[in-house]
Parts: sequence; structure tokens; C-alpha cells
Amino acid sequence: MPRFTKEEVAEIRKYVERYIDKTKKATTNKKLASIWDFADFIEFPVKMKKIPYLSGPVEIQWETTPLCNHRCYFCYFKNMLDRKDYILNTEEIKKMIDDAADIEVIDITIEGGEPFMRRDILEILRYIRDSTKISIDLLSNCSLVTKEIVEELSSIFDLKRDGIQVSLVAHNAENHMHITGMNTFDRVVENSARIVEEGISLRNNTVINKYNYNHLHDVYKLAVKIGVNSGFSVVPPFQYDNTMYTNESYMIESVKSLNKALDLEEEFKIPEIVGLIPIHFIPKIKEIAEDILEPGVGYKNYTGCYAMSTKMNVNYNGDVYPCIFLQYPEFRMGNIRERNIKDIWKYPEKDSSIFRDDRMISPHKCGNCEISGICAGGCWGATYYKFHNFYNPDPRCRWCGNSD
Amino acid sequence: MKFKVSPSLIYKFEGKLDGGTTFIYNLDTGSILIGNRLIYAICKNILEYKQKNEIILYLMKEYGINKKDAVKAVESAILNKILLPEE
Repeated sequence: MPRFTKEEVAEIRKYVERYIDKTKKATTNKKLASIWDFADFIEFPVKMKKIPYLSGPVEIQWETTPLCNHRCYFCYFKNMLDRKDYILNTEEIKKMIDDAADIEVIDITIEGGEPFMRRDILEILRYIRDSTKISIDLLSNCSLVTKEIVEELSSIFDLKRDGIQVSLVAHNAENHMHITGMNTFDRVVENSARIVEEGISLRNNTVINKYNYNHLHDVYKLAVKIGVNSGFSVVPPFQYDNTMYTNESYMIESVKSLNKALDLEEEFKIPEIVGLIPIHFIPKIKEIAEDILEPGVGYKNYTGCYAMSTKMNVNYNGDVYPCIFLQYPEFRMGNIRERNIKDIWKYPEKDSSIFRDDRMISPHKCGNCEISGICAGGCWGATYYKFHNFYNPDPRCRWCGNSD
Repeated sequence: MKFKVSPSLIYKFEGKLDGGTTFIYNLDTGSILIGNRLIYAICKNILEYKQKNEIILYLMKEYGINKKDAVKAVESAILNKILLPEE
């Protein structure tokens, strides 16, 4: 058995127990629903295969621009930064927003590159808020969000439904510099704190990487200091940086660090930790912690990918793909400069049956796994990136033994 | 008394789910509701204050339903604060 020491096995078991406890609480302890819970609720009939897809997406992920002032080495977007593609103009985006409202999209996730590299981003945000009911979920590194911009955001946002997600990639300036290539740590911290002071919902996303894997609890402390008020989340990297999945010591150190962060959460309460390393990514997880999982935990046969069934991605040039991680020519469903998103959703240019009707019979191996309710069924984008099909499991998974 | 749709509602309609399902979220109360196609018709169309009877007649005329079903839909919408009374 494991190459892990007894202490390390104990750390993993402790982590898994807490992870499962959180998964259960997330579904049973809700007093009031958020707009995100509402979006999940609408997706539920698709998740449970009552219908293959929604009549219009519940969420649109819009990549505002290929430009970014950071150069995070693990970023899925880094290969696009120097592209000279067409970028949607303000009027084209406003039309997309009108069309999205028309098909009752609930939430638009605004991401980059870095959205504040667009000069018209505030105008667009104001347009969304003033002319639609769509919730705004703005992802930013916050290094460019000046005092004036925060004040304007405060006047634009409906604080009940709109919010910002900041990428706190490191707990100190030195690591921040290693990861992003930029000396912007102090600005990110200062601007983030100002966002909270204005009463705007702020959530943190930290992509785990080789510079922060053993400092995740320190990033949590930083989030407490900033006042992050809407959740603390760590995100395992996509496979562009495979370090986490090939080096077991990184993974065990991450688990140790997250156990410390969970201890801190018990002390501070806010921010609540809402995203952790999925337990199936941990090496030897089945041997170490299978007995912790109760029979029936989660939903068996739960097909986790909702690309093109409840969500769609609009690239900065207007191309529509099922997901940010499935931007391949074979999945380019249309372009919003040529057809509106309602038509693209209804009559995609490429065969979408794999994302829709075929989902009902769970072609993706993860959909038939006994812990699919916990892991949400794996990432189809990760599978396609590695295998160029959808029939293998998520290659980062260590549960089924069929991964890397 | 006149009623109109609460401005705090966000909704989405799925015509192919259970004969037509409306998902509704109330921003003020943080509550989630489910309604049928008649509730969707109310959410989408009763944007100005209207008498309860006017709404009932509208549903009967537009959707070809009997008065009992129309009354039931309107009363359900009032009870669940989908329709708010004029202040």
C-alpha cells in the first residue's frame, strides 16, 4: 500500500471526511437560496436526465478579451494572449446581451483574459444591469480595479445578484510575482479590500499550482484579511500544468494545507470554503478512504458536464463553443455576428448530440461511477484534451484507476 | 384591488418539462418557486397593474382554459407573491 506515511494517510482521511461533510451541508443547510442555487435548480432536470437540454442556456460564459496584464504560467488562456483575432465590439456585445435576455439566461460569467483590459467593460456591465435581469458574475485579477472603478461598480451592481470573483493566486508578493510575472500583489489586495468595503460580493478563486500548493491556508488568511465575503475556493489546475497530477508530494502537501485552511474556517467562519480539491484527484484515494463513503452518497449516474445542455461559451471573437475547455474547431457551434445565440443554441452548426441526447445514456465513463454525485461526473473538457474522445474518464481522477 | 408582477422575480420557462414548467426566483426573499405555463404567462405579461378579474379573463382568453383553472393560477400567484397588490 501506499507510499504515504501513516500521518499522511490520516491527513487524507481527515480531508475526505470534511469534504463529504461539506458536500452534504451544501445541499441540506441552505436557509435562503442564492441566484447560483437558482441556476443549479434549473439545471437539475438535465442533471437527472429528465430532459436532455434546456430550451436556452441558464448561463453564458463570455470571454471578453484575449488580453491580460498577468502571465500566469498555468492559465488556459495564455496561448491566446498574442492572437490578433477580431474582438467583439460594444454594439455586438449589447446585441448578444439582448438575445440572452430574450431566451431567459439567468447568469453571465464575464471572464477574460482580464475583463478590465476592455475600455468599454463598465458600459457593458451597466447595460446588462439596466436593461436585463441577468446576474453578473465578473471574474478578474482585480489589479486594474481602481478606486474610481470600484465606486462605479458599486453604482452599477445589484448587490443581491451581482458579484466579483478575484484570483488570489498567492499569499505574498514574491509568489505572486513568480506566478503572474507581475509586481501587482499589493494592488490586488488593496483593490479587493475596497470592493468588499463597497458592499460588493467578492469570492476568491485560487488555482493550485507549484508556488502555492503548500500555502493554501496562508491564502485563506489573506482572504480573511481582505474580507472576502462570498466564498473561498481552490481550483485544481487544468492539465496545461500537469505538475499536480504527476507529483504526489504536491497533492499531499495541498491536502495538509487545506486541512489547515479548514481549521481556520472553523475559527473565522467567513469566508466559507466553497471549493476544495475534489477527493477523486488524490492519489490512492480508493485504498485510503473508500470506507468513508456511505453507500448511495451522491447521485449515481449523474452526468456532470452541462456544456451545450445548460451552458454555453462565447469567445471574445463571437465564436460559440460548448465550454471554455472545448474550444476546438469540431465544436464551434456558430458565431454570434452571423446568427443570434437563440438560433445557435437551437440549431448548432456542429453535431451536438454527444452533449444532449447521448448524455441520457451516459457515454462518459464518469457518469456511471459510484461517486459521481460527489465529483459531479468529471470534466469532459479534461477528457477530450487528453484522449480526444468523451468515453474515457477525467484523466485527473484517481478513483477508478483508469486515469494517468 | 389591482395587481402586477413583482419586479423582484427572475424566471425561466421550460416548455418541454412536465407540460411546461416555470422556474422562479425571488430576489427579495431568496425563495425558489415552480409554476406551470399559466404562471409563466402571468410573469411575462402582467407588467402593469390590472384587476384580478382582468388577469383571469386574460388567461382564459389567451390560453383557452376554464375559469376555475384561471382563478387557481391567479390566486396561487398572489399567495406566492408573484403578483403584488397596488400600494
